Amino acid sequence: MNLLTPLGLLGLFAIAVLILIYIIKPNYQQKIVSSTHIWKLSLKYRKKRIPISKFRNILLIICQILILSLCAFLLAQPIIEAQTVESKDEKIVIIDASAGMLASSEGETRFERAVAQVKSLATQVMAQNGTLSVILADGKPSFIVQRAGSTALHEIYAALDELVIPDEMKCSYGAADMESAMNLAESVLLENDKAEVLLYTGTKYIDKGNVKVVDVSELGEWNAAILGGTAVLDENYYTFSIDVASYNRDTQLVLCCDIYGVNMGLSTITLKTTVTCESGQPITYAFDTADESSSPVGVYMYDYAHIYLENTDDAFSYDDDLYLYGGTKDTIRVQYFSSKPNNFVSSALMSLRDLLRTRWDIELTEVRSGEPELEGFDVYIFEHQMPQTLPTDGVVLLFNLDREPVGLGLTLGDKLSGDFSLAPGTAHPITNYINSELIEITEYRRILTSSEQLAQAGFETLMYCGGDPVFLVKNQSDAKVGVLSFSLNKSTLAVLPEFPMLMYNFFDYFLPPTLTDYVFDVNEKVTLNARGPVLTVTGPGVQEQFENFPNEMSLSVPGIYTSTQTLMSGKQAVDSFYVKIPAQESNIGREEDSLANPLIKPVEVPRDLDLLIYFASVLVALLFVEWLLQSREF
Amino acid sequence: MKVSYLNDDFFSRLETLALNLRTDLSGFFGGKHLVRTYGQTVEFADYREYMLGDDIRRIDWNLYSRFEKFFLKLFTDERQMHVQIFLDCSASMGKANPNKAAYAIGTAAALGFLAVHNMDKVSFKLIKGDKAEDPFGTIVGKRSFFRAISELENVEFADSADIGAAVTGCPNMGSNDGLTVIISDFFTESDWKKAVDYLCYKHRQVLLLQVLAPEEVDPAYTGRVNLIDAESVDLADVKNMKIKITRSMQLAYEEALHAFRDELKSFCVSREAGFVSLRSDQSIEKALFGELLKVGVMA
Repeated sequence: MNLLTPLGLLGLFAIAVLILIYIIKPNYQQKIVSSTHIWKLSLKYRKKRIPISKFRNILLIICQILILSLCAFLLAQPIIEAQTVESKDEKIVIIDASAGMLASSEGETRFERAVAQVKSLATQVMAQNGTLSVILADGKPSFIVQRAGSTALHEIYAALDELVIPDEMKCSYGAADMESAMNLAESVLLENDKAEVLLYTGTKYIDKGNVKVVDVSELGEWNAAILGGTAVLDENYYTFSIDVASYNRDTQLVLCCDIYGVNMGLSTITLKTTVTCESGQPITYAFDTADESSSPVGVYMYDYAHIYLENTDDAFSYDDDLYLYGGTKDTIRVQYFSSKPNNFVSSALMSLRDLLRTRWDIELTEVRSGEPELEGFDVYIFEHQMPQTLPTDGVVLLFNLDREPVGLGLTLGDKLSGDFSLAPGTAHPITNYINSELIEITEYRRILTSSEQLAQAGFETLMYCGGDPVFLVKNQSDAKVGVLSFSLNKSTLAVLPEFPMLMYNFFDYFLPPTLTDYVFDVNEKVTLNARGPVLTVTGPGVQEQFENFPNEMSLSVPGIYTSTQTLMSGKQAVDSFYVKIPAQESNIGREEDSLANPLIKPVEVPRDLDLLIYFASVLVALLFVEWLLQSREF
Repeated sequence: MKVSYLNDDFFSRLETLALNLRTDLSGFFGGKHLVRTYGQTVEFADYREYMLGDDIRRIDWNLYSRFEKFFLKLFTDERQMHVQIFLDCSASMGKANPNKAAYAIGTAAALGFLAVHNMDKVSFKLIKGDKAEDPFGTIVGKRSFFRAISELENVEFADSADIGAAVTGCPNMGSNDGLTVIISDFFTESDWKKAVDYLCYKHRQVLLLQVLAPEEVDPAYTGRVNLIDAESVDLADVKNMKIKITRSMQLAYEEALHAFRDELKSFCVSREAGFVSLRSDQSIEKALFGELLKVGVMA
């Protein structure tokens, strides 16, 4: 217990005064009364005192002394000082591991520079018996070192050295999740809210908050970057639009575009131009191959295009290249065989061809007489007259079964006539946006296979008629089949908008595009799909197989990636895409408004325990006891 | 400051009251108190058979016509009483508390006024020591009364008083002729009971009025107190006492006072005397109209 005002103890002299009062106080006060006769009588009636009364006087004086002592202590303001934890020199270091930290100057990247500075800081902190935490702020921030004390200096060095091993540098090629990094810092701040947070980065922040930002950029660093690009087929010729920028320097850039496999040939053309960039102002340049002044030939098909900046000596080279794929479309061969050809099917297929022309070249073959081909196509459509055996190298769509092809696995019954409305079956991507109840039929062939057997055979029932399945779909690696057991001629399906939608869904389901795009940023989700059972993705340091689709993957290294799949026909389908540095990471001199600061929950600061209330409580209690002793006769 | 209750307003309020004395008193001729003896008033009392020697003028002829016997018609008699008021003039009645003395004088005067107002005789007897002084003699009529009470106000309360000795030693006490009132606090070690017994022996109607100051009923003082008796001679007097007054002592005092008054009351009851205890902070009218009416002395 400590006293804030020790002079208050002078109040203890009041005890001496009290004793003096006891000594000099008159023993009896005189009072003239007439009733002494009664007072004398009253002595007989006085009740016997209990033993405590013998001590009453001494209790009273003790009580009064205690009261005076407490008053003196109250004046002295007693407190119990809070036990404060000895403040240690604790640092929380966050190393920005975003792609921008790979900007190098004089053979040393910002990241390496940051690690070196952190090592130096660690030496200082450890020398002062401090504590150090190191957080690597990449896409998924993590602790490299967590609250390491002075004895762990060597471990800290080892952990930091691991970050900058040549060719295995731990700096990412994507953006840093600074918010998560600050969350990690928060976990340390909860333990010691006096810890200092330092961020080693090349990014400038206007509002740094409570974080000390250590700039690891070097003067004169600049970056020329290809931020992105697209190849757009415009009036049958491609136009390559490229976004370029220069940061920290106004300069002229030589932008080159090598186009490989031009127009199904083996020739390569190089387009080149010089663009003038102002620092921090991205510009878009378009190589229009239809323009004779820009390109020697009009490019309507290409294998891939390599766009790059020529002769740049910038600090960050990872964004100087860009590859654009998707210039060559796959051909999808479709055979439509019908004993009574149906214009609705032909029209739907032609619409599909137009609709999906950016994805595929759809080649239609109609067989009106003779025997249909049972191999060599990607999609087989049979109507009214079924083949003896089902093709096995493509997707098969059967309209109006007249018999059961070998390998289909269905048992057919008689035809039923009447007015029927269809009912929806299992929800399926093929029946998206299709209202089955609008479809009316007058005749269908019953499929006698039980639902259990259909399930065992891998069929899903998408539509029913009077409880009988009339639209079945099977999607297995060796068999991709759609079966409609009624004739389009005897149904309203063909005249409804549902029919082209059904055809589109059918193609989209069985022949999905492998990639949604051909250029992705580092750490961006890449959605993968496949026509074959297995898709293999290979790229810089990556080889991964996928069997379930659609699937997603995230790629952390920029470069060219290739997806390979084996189709039902046995052919290999290969697609390539490019993973580039995110555009904002190219801006190595960027300045941001504010830095995400760690949100420190208000820690209960240990406060001095003020004893006034307790002393006052005791004082009140003693005053009460004193009053009791004074007023009551025990 | 001297306190006085005696003024015109005070007496005018008393004019509606009268003393209600026992009917077995004989008294003197000429008063207004009805007594048991038959007399010449107009108020019918009883019938009696004619006896030889009776005045034939008092025969009720109507009864004779009915019963053919002679009956006399009797009437009550009215007598004048002698009211003696003994006032304790010891220091205990006035030294410590002038209000108490004034109250005692006021009560005495009120009773005296009621007496003269009803054509009784009154005499104020001041008990000083073991003597009962009679400075005003027997008072008849209001003029004499007011002259007497104007001097009564100047009575000095001092020393002690022996009520028993004073009453028994008082000359001309009379017998069976009226009411004797003793006004005192009775805080005395002398034998006041002897006075009551003596008065009863004299067939007088007796009324004891105890006048107490408020602080004598509820003593408010506490702590270590040297209680100096108002009648003590000096500080060394045995009547004085040192006492530590606590709450329990106050309760004991209350109990003792209660017992003391009970003793007074029970003694008075045993002697067919009236007893009334009054507080000096209580109005005299309330005392007269309330307490004295209760004991039947007032009507």
